[in-house]
Amino acid sequence: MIRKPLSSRSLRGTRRSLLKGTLAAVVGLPWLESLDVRESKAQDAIPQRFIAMFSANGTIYDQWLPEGGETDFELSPILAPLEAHKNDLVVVEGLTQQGGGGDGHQNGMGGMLTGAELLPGRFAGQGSAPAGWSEGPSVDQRIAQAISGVTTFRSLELGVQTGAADNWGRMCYAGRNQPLAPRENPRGVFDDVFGFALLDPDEQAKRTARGESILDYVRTEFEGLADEVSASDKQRLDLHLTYLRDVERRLAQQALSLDQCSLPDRPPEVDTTNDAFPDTGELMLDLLVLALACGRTNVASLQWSRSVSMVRFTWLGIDRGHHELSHLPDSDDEAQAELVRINTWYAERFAGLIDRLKRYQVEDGTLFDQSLLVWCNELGKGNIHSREKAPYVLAGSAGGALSTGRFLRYPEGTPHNNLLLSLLHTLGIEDSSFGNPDWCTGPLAGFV
Amino acid sequence: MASLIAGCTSDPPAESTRAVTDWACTDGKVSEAPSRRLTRFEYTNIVSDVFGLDDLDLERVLPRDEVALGLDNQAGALSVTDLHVDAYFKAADRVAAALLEKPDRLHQFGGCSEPDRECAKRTVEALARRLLRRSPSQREADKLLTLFENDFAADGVQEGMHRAIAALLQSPDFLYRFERASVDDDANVDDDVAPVTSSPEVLASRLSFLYWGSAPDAELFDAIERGQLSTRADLEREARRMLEDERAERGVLHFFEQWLELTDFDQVEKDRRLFTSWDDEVREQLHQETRLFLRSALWEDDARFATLLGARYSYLTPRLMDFYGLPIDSRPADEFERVDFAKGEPRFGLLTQASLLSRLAKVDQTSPIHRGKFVRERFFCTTPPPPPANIVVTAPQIDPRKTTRERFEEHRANPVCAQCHELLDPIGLAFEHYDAVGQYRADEANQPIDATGYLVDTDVDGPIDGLPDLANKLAESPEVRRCMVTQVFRYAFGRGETERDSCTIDNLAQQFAASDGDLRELLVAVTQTDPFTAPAPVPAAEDLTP
Repeated sequence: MIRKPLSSRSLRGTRRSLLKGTLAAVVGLPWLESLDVRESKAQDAIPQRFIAMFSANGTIYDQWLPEGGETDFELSPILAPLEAHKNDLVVVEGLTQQGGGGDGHQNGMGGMLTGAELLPGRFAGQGSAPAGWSEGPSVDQRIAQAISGVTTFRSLELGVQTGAADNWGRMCYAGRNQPLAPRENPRGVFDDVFGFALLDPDEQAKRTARGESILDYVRTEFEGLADEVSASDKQRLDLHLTYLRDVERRLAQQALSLDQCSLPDRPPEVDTTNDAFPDTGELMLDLLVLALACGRTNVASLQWSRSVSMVRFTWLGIDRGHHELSHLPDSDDEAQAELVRINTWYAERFAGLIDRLKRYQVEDGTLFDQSLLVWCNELGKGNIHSREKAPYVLAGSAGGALSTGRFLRYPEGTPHNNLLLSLLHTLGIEDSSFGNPDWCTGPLAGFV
Repeated sequence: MASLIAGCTSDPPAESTRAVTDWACTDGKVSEAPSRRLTRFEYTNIVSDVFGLDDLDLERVLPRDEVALGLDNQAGALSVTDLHVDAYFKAADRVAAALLEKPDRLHQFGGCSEPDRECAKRTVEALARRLLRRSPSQREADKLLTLFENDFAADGVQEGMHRAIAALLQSPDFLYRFERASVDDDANVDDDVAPVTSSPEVLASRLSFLYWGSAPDAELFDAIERGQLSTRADLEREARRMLEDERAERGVLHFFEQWLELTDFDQVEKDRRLFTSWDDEVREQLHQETRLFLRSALWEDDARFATLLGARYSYLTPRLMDFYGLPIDSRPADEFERVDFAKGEPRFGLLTQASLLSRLAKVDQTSPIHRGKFVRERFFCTTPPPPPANIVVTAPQIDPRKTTRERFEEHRANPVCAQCHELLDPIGLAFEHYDAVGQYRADEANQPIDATGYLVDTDVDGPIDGLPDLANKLAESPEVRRCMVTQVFRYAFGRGETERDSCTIDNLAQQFAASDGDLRELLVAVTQTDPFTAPAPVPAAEDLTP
């Protein structure tokens, strides 16, 4: 049951054995292995990075919770794959995920990174009035405002088979009522983030001139409409305009050279079947780290599936869907064991993310040393939709700002808003509160 | 029919009912209609219809649309994000590049091919009209030509055209349907033929997006130019024409597939060790079976709602006949053909199609809850009340010694559970003859299947024995008919109904009943209602929330 962390060798083996269909185009090596240089030159100031990773449906708390004191603790079976990185972790016990509106999965998902409730709306959940998008913004977006610097992408939202566009499937919010959809196609992500830089200079110049003239036309058309439409339409148009300016800004910044890092070939196309889930995820992890390493963004997130994830972990020999399993009673030993294996699998992915970040050398260490990572879940306990005992695992010191190798225990019921606020403080963002102020009683004591 | 619906405004209701309906639609006011962002479905359809480009894989470029009330075109729920705007930029570039590779197609728009300013102008104006769904103003036409940077030689025209097409595809009036008043409002209307008040361009779009999920065609523009898209009779004429067009299959089936919750059917999975006949091919063919059945019922057959629930035929491949336990014939395994079911065969209409049955079941067992909930939501438009908080919500485990009915007994024995499961399980259990993949079974756990159940809290309450009984009750129920009308209304107007719409929905339901549940007539009748014909008042700012 307890799984050892995968060495890169066994990781490679796992992936090779899973290559199927269109993925068979890649032979042998994981995609990123084709990189010849793993070096990212530091930018002017040493940047800080923030990464959020999500997995769904709660955990099995007693198999997740470490044992021991703040600095002398033993990792649990679920967290065992992180053993090699134990000194880089901060595991947090006792937090209650705040949220409101909609059903437990909905408001857990919407509140997880925002610390805010869902607005009234039309997404009908079970056991509650229908709810809309979150009050937002999410903590990654608050951080992006502060640390995105001159990167091409203020933030990069990536997802693996996140399903329908509704509030069960959105965790990042640019602001109130502004969900950010994750990008799901690895090849599309590669093209968006790096494609332009791979063109020859003449083609780049042509595309830039074309793009600028088109966007200039479109922007003024939107601006001209503002007086002709209703108030709510105007809100929407204003949003559209904001994002148009982002596209314009990126167009200008794409022209920056990419000589800070070297790029692999385009990743393979993946299909969207259940069994392509792990391989798609590995590619997304590669892309996420590559985007950070190449200075394309300082803030990224990876959303595995969605709340109420129905993924079937057939590659672990588990045929029933994750959500269905998560609703079985505690007395069902087989289901509990399978859920532990699922959560352990996600711990392996989190370890894989850390591994990748550590492979990139920057001036004073590795990319990982500059980073702050948080792994979160929309629920604590799946079968009762409880948001108490939410399983937060952090990693990375954000350039020495956070002391790691710790197991922090807070009184049960401590609102998770306090953690979100502490994340901001770790990154030097001295806000006094985050999310719904009623749920934020101050930064976690002794955290930073 | 026109007069019945138009009665909302022009014929005051009888004195006795006046008190009831006065607030609803006699004042001619209609509910607010927020602007509608094009959905991915609509965007790709327009590119296909206007440019004949079907192979651009835009599905992978444009984000998925939000689904609210079970539909992907609900204006309030459709968000705009960085990802959308970025996707529009990329998609526009892809479409422009592909069109420029087919110069013949491009030249059709302006009816010219010379690399000069005059031809560029004509082409761009024609493109603008199709994409913006209205005639471009002089200012717009001039501004589009500035994208050519005054270079109307061959290369310059090429580049300029690329920019103009991409710019149009990102214009606000392409990406959104604002339904603003027309630039030219002096439509030629005869006062005594019940003029409608929205601009002809807006009406043309309302028609084409309703039936085709796409932009108006050349014929609609011709009708506008002739001054023949102003009255209810004009709308009815065009509606009937458009419903007979093959594009209607695409648009109308898009609604019905969402009604049946089959949009993501390719994600439905079963335990293949328990159900050895289930594989990717069967799943794909089951999906296709339902599409072909709907197409046939709506266009070749009588389009009656009762036909959807009771037709004794379907469209099957030999592979599916085998799956359904029918005698196989010698066609190729993937060739569909109409199959008429023999008397006694347990297949009749949608409820007995394995697409629906397997969609509403778990990986390894049936799900009376999901099946009951589906009937409540999709046929009665009611959402069952919530399960209580903080209990372990879990389906009973499979036990080979017990039937599904026995395993679900606790729901009704335990009064806490019974509150809501009373509304669900007794309906879902009527489906028990059909297992988790929709195959017929006579017994379970060595006991004959008991498919009895009952309906409560409906207008057709009472005991039911199996699906034939349930299907009959659904086909008879006025509540079910009104629910169908309500869902068509939501799809047509891209929003949920409000109190102000209830007179309209009542009238549509009445008409639907009078036509013996004719779904095609219902789709035509929608165009005769006040919300369809009237200019929409502007909504309040808060309505942006889905």
